[in-house]
Amino acid sequence: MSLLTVDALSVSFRMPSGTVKAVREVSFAVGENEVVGILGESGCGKSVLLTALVRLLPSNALVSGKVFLRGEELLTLSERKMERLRGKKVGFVPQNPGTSLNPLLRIGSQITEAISTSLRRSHKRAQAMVSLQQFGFGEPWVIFRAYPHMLSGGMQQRVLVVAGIINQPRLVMVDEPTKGLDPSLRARVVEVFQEVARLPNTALLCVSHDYLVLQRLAHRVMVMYAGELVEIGSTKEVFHTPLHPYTVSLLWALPERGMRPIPGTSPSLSNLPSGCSFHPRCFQARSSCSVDHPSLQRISPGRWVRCPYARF
Amino acid sequence: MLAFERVSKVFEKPQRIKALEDVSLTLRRGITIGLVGESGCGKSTLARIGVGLLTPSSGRVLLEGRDIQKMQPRERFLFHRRVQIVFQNPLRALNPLLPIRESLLEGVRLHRLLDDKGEKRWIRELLEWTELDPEILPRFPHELSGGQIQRVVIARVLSLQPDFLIADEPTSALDPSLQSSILRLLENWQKKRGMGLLLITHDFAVVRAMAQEVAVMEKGRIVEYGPTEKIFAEPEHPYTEKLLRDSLLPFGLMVK
Amino acid sequence: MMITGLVLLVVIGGASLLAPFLSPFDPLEVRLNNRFAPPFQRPHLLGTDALGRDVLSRLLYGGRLSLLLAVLSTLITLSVGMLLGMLAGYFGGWVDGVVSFVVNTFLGIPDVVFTLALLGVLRPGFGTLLLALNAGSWVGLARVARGEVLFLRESGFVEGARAMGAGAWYCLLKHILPNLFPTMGVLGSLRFGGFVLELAALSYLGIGVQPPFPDWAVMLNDARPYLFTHPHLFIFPALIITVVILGANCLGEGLRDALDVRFQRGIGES
Repeated sequence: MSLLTVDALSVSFRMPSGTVKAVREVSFAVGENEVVGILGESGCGKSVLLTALVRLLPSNALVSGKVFLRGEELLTLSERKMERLRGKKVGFVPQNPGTSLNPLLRIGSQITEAISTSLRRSHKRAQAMVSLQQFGFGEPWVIFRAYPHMLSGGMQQRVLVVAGIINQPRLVMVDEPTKGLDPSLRARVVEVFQEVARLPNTALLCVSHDYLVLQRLAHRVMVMYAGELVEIGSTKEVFHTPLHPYTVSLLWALPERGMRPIPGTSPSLSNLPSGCSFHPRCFQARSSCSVDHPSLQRISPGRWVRCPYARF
Repeated sequence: MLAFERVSKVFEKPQRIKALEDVSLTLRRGITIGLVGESGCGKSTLARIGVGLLTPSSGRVLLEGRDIQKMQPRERFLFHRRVQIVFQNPLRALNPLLPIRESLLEGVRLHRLLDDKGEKRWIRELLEWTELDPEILPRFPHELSGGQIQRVVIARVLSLQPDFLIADEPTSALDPSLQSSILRLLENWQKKRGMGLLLITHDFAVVRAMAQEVAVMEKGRIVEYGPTEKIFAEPEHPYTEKLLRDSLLPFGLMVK
Repeated sequence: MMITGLVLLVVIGGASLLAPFLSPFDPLEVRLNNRFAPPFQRPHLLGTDALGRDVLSRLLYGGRLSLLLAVLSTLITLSVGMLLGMLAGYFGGWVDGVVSFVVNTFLGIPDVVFTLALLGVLRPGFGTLLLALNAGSWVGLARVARGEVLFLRESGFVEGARAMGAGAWYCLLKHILPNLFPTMGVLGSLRFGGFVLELAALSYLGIGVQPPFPDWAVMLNDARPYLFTHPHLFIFPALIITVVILGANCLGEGLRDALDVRFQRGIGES
């Protein structure tokens, strides 16, 4: 049995401007020790997906589908039981450090607060210091006593990561861990997550727009566009032989692979294109693409594409 | 030529920080120089000094051999037209109370470059160049996405047709696909106008794709400088090597 | 909410302005043969007071002085506060030093004491009241303005303008000042309410607007001995004052809510 199974999860928001379909029938599984990456850009719904899994969505969210954590259905769990899971069995490292840290509390107490075991305060402090050091803070005692506003955005992000994994949960969900970090810090963060992934019985679900991070960390990668998964495969398969035109275009856009911009812009989630969501920007779109909405097709075990004309 | 000559900058408040030490760099028209370094190494300070927003503690900035600090007001005003800057953060990059059209024309109006008809024509051209939809003209910044704002910011700056552009991490806050379109924009503009570009970034892949020469900065000093390919093939300074390693890029593998 | 406040203030302000046309009787006319007429009866719709003066007329006229003083004070406080705040925030250096020194000094002096002292020393009158109200009130606004200017000065669009060669005054007038209006507008509305209250308190105590001028607070004071026998004499002016302040607060809060949406747009996209 997989650690996490997501079955046809959909999340929409009812807004005055219309219904925003952030996540559309997403299904996937994460194994016990696996690292799964979700590659996607801003506006594709990846953050909403993660937030839905830990049930921290705002009240105007409409959720359907099922989520199983080791057989236990999460979406229908009582809030109290969910609270016990969060931070302990399921760790979550959110994206916006500015709004996720309490500006009135020192960093140290926010981290030790996240520690769930009943240890003595001095032990918790020690644990926090060790983690801080692991994540690149050269003088953890300074950080420990500091307030969030004294830290740069990158440092705040790293603090969030520390708080999210300090209990060594079974499943760690990470949202853009390297956003805004320069390469050196990014390399550090990747190293630490690699260590986290090596821990026994720890699975990682990592969302990022940075393929370099996922390439180093993930066993499997799922590409997300306009609320849907458009390609799934092993990391090697997806990055070396991408099949879906979006994945192909995304890789071509990288400076190290030609820096070819993708025409057009990401679609608005409240006003999705007809048929295939990517067709207005697709280099191999045909007339049927604007009419038929393709489903995920299995090419080979573990390899899926949402495009009938994907080259293979 | 825009030259930094032995520029140093020391900040006194809130603490004494030596942001830059003895930095020399020459920007020529038509060439792109990539300036790489970690966060906090002084790149942004150098950028601001380059456009006259900050004054160096010692050293000079020279435009065509003239020290900008010693320029008369008129000359200095012209300097600001010829040397421009694009900042990193799209937030608050535009006056929230002004419609986009006004923000775009600000530079042109400040320097009184065009009349009404000229303005209309120029706006149209600018929008085409930067691939922006004319429907954004009456809108306000809060209605635009981060990528659109950055494009507007660049368009605004380019409207002065500067000879030299300092781009301080122009795409670091953006997604990969947006990054490539904005960088291409800068590159095309450079080719069209022969603009000198100082591209400040921490992304080596970008440097390799865009810059002819690279300067590596560590803690306010330039530790290595040379043609891009050489720096990648045979980096000399250990810090350069470290940065290359940290970039996680597979070198020798430029898949086209 | 903003609309509610605006409507309330406009209605009352308008009524005060048009008092000479709307008022059924002369507010000062004493009719000793018609004292304490009860309200809700013709011809005196709100009754008459201890000297037979028509309450409705007095209410209509009553706001004129206080509202005028409050409006003027708000304008003065805003202008002075914004100007000094802008200068201090933008130029820094010795300008900031001087302004901050003055601000901090004034903050150390308790408002009430200062106001009372001024009023005690100078002759009562319009000018004195204006001075008393404003002497210390610009200080808080200046502080807030200074903070906002410090923040705005570092914004991309201000730096961008400077990098284009714009001078200090251009930046201040075109970029910084307009962006101050939202916050100052909110504070101004709330301050207006504060002025009305302050003035009412002073007039009630007899050191503000002087009788026989039919100021609302003066009416309150006059009504004191008859609080239990003829409550309407107390209730009507009290109600009006409350409504004015309520209107000002609604306007201020409403403005703040409306502006929050526009300026606080977050970056968080999924």
